[in-house]
Amino acid sequence: MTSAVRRLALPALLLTALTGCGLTGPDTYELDEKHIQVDAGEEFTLSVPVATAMGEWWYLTVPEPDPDIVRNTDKREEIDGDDGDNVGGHSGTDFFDFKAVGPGTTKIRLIQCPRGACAGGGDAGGPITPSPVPSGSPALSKEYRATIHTYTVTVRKS
Amino acid sequence: MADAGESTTDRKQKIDRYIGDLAAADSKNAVLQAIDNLLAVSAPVGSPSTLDAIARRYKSQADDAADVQQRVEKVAASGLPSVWVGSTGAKAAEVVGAAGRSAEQMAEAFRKASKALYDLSDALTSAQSKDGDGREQLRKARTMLGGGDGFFDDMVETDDEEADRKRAQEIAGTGSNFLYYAAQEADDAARAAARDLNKFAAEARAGQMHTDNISAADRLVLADTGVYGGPQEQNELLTANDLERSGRFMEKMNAQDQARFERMLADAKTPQERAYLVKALAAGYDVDEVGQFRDKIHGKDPYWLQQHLSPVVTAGDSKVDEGLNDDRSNKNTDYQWFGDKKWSQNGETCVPSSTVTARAMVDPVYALELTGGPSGQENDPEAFRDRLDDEQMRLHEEGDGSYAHWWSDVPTGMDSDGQNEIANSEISPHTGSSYEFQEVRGADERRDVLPDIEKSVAEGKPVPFEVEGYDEEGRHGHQMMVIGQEGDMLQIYNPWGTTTWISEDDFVNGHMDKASDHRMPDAYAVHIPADR
Repeated sequence: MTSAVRRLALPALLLTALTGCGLTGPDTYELDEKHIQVDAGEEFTLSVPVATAMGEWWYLTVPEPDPDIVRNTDKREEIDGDDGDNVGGHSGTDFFDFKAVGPGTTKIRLIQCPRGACAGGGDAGGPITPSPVPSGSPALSKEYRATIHTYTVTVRKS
Repeated sequence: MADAGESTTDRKQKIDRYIGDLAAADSKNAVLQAIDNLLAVSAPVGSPSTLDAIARRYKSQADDAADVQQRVEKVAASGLPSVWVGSTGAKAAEVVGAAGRSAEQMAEAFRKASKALYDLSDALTSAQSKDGDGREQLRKARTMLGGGDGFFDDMVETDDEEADRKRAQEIAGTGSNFLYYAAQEADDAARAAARDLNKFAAEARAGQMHTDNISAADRLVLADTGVYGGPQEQNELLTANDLERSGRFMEKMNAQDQARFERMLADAKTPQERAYLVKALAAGYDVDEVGQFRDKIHGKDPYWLQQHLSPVVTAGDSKVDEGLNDDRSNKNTDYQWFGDKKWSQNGETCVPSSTVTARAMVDPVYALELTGGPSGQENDPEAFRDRLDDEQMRLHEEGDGSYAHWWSDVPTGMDSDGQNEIANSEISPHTGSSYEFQEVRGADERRDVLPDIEKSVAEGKPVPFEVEGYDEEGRHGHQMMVIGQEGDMLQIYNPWGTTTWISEDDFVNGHMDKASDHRMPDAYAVHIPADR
């Protein structure tokens, strides 16, 4: 049992050491890593899976993080495409890039929008937020509702 | 000699190619060859005066139909004995109402057809005039150049000869542009007229049902019945194809089956119940099967019937342009529900999912199996969703869809063979048209396929099509369905559980993101309903 834990722990430690020391570029945090500590001046990325074949989208939503602590620098999407002349078999990853600019703690909120679950942006402009449910309509099932994922980021003095 | 059989798109493409040859020509003989090629392309074909004469006749028929409508409305206003019923039970008020609306639609169809023909005539006159001017310039350029050079003359071109050649080339270039504009004008006008006239022909719906087994009054009411929940004219319960097929099947019935079917129609509690029975017959079920279906739906109200038997309802304001979302999709999108569950895909199964919904649209017996379960009486959205997921996976298997890896049961899309196979095995038996896969990667190909799409959906046959987009990581695609058409707009069902309208120009010019999102803007293949 002990040796099994060691076998699993060693690659994980190695990976942490590599990402932590910046050898592989900005640190990237997955969806289950909601508490993040970085040094001022560092860049980091939030990575989320996106169901592109289902018309899902992810956005940075309001309230936005304190701009004196963290700034959003970019959003990128990589889609694992369809093979041959297949359709409908693709999925993607969205990357939200940030820069830690000053010490303090702030929150980053990403909104996961299944098809039709969000409003805002586009021609109308404004932030993207969960779609309001029309008055008198039944509550939407969970799978059709937007989810807001909140990350707490602490920036240390460099 | 003009080739009257040449399509307007072929003419445009030829002219475009020869304009390129003319611009690239660097010798007198090459210029002469390009001019001759351009002159050999046929002029826009057609007789504006004949079109005008037909348009005048349609206008007069529109006036006659409007007169009929007024007289029917007078009858409706004065009232009829409520005891009068048609042979299948249509009540007098229903018949008079349907007759009034039919006359109104007929008047409008004739009026619009007349306008479509006048527009075509005007466009053709203008195109023929432009084409004539262009040919004059081309002939002038040819005259300026004189005869072709012999082998040795062609090897040397003096400065004077080069200047003459370039002057002629310029004049020919102007002329050829006129030919192109004329071809474009004729192509656009012919396409618009064909689209409108095909639609009006399909809308003459009561006339599609060729059977004496039910009365003209009953046929009128059946053709006029709408799905509950939306404007009747955008939610006709029986398509032109349903009416034609059911009429044909009624004609083939033996006397006993005829009597049983007529009794079912006469006993129906609402016009919708009656129309769904006819739709089941049109979907290919025999009288025994229609009888079992009838036992499950008999006496249900129009809302219950819509929820269980018609996956898609078109809202009255569905064509209003409300702008675009952040992902470039239309804001004005309707979600299609059974209770609080959508008619949508669950996983990477767009092809089987759109096929399941399309079949449910043309086959009410199948729709009821999904919504109402084995008894046909269930009203449980969760259970519906489970059955829908299972059915989508069944079709994924049937179409030999892909999986995440060889031992996985997670679906990841389907190729073109599978797409066409399941359209043919699931939808075709219930519409009578098999599907043919056709790639349409260029704007011209997409424009050319539009008349086939328009005709199919006007008759009530859904048209599956694929869209795609590219980025650095590769290609990603999706399947949707054209399910309706009005003017130059197409109604699209997306297996994400939505319907919306896009323009035909959007379809041609790579803006299908309005119906999906900007990851997949280009329509590149369609499955066209072919033979009957």
